[in-house]
Amino acid sequence: MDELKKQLVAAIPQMMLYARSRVGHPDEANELVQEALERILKRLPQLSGAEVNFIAYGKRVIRNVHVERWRASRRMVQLDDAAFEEVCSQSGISTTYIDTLKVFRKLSEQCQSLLGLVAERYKYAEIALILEMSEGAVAGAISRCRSAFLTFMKGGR
Amino acid sequence: MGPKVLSIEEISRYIDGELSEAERRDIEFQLESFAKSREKLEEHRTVARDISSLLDEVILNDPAYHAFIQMVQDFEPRPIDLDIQAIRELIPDRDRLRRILDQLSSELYGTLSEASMSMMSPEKSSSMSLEMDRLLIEDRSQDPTRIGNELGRHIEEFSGVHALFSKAFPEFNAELEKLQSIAMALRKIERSEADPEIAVITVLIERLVERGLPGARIMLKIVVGDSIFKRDYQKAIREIAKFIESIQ
Repeated sequence: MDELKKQLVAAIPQMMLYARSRVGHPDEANELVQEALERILKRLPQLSGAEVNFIAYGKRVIRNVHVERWRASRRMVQLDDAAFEEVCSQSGISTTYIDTLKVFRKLSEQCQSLLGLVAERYKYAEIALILEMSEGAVAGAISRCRSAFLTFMKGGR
Repeated sequence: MGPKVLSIEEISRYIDGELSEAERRDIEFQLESFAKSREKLEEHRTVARDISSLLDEVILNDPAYHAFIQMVQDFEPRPIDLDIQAIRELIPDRDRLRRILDQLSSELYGTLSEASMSMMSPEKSSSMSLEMDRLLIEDRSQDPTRIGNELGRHIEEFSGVHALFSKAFPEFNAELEKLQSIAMALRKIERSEADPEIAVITVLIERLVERGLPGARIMLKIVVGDSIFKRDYQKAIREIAKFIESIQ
């Protein structure tokens, strides 16, 4: 159980970043993470002894929570750039941060995980283990994800 | 090796410190010799810095991060979750476990799912205590509104199979229609004036029970004010399910 908790704790930054990339406003993002963590913790005893990729699992649960809330409130599940910027601005965060987050959210989930983990100073070998990829694939994918980020940053698609 | 434009993978590895000392020196030599490589490096460095700033905002500036860590660390599973886990470990074969659980629930509650049990009356709760049942029995008998409501609901819930009843037992149609109209009437009749209607539907339902209309016994219980338990609903649903199977 302690090992699972440790792995779950390690996944929290990526889960928080993922939630922010979905909803923008930090408070709303944290509500998603809170509920996702509660759901995961409820299932934690059942996961004992299993190999769990908590980053992927955490993101999946956040996505489910978000979609369920959207269904309940009938609001847009995926904000467009303008709406996203507006939501972020309400929380008083810097425009540079908002611009970066706007680009980050356009990346695929795999790219978000790869770049997020490397930003957390994980080594490629560790990332390969976490994301169940070969080390060579991690290196290639990180460089492609950075290029994609650059393309989006420059306004490309 | 002569100067060359570095690949994005080489640049990424360089930024992330994933190169050996010799490889790093080689990349730095290439960077010095080629402005295009330096430009690429700067761009990718900016991306790495930007993404780091996103994470720093979460890890360093958001108090929720520490609250979440605390939440996970403080988590203690409920005893029931540990029991469930122990059972899973004892019987890892999911099919076998399901069969055992089905058997157990069948012995305790019958074989039908909870979902099937949600049909018909609100009195389906298995958690209702015996004392509650006793009180209800006292209050239930001969209350025309209660009979009208429950019977009406029962008939409505089974309306989906009425068409099948009509096909298989056309002779029941008249009784069912009559039952439905009396149930409607009972909802509005005063207790003191309800005796004739209750007498009529009692006879009608007894006749249906005698002739084996699936689900009829429960209607009799409703009319005479017997307490109705989960098993009664299960039995009624089983009878109807069997009936539907038999005519398909």
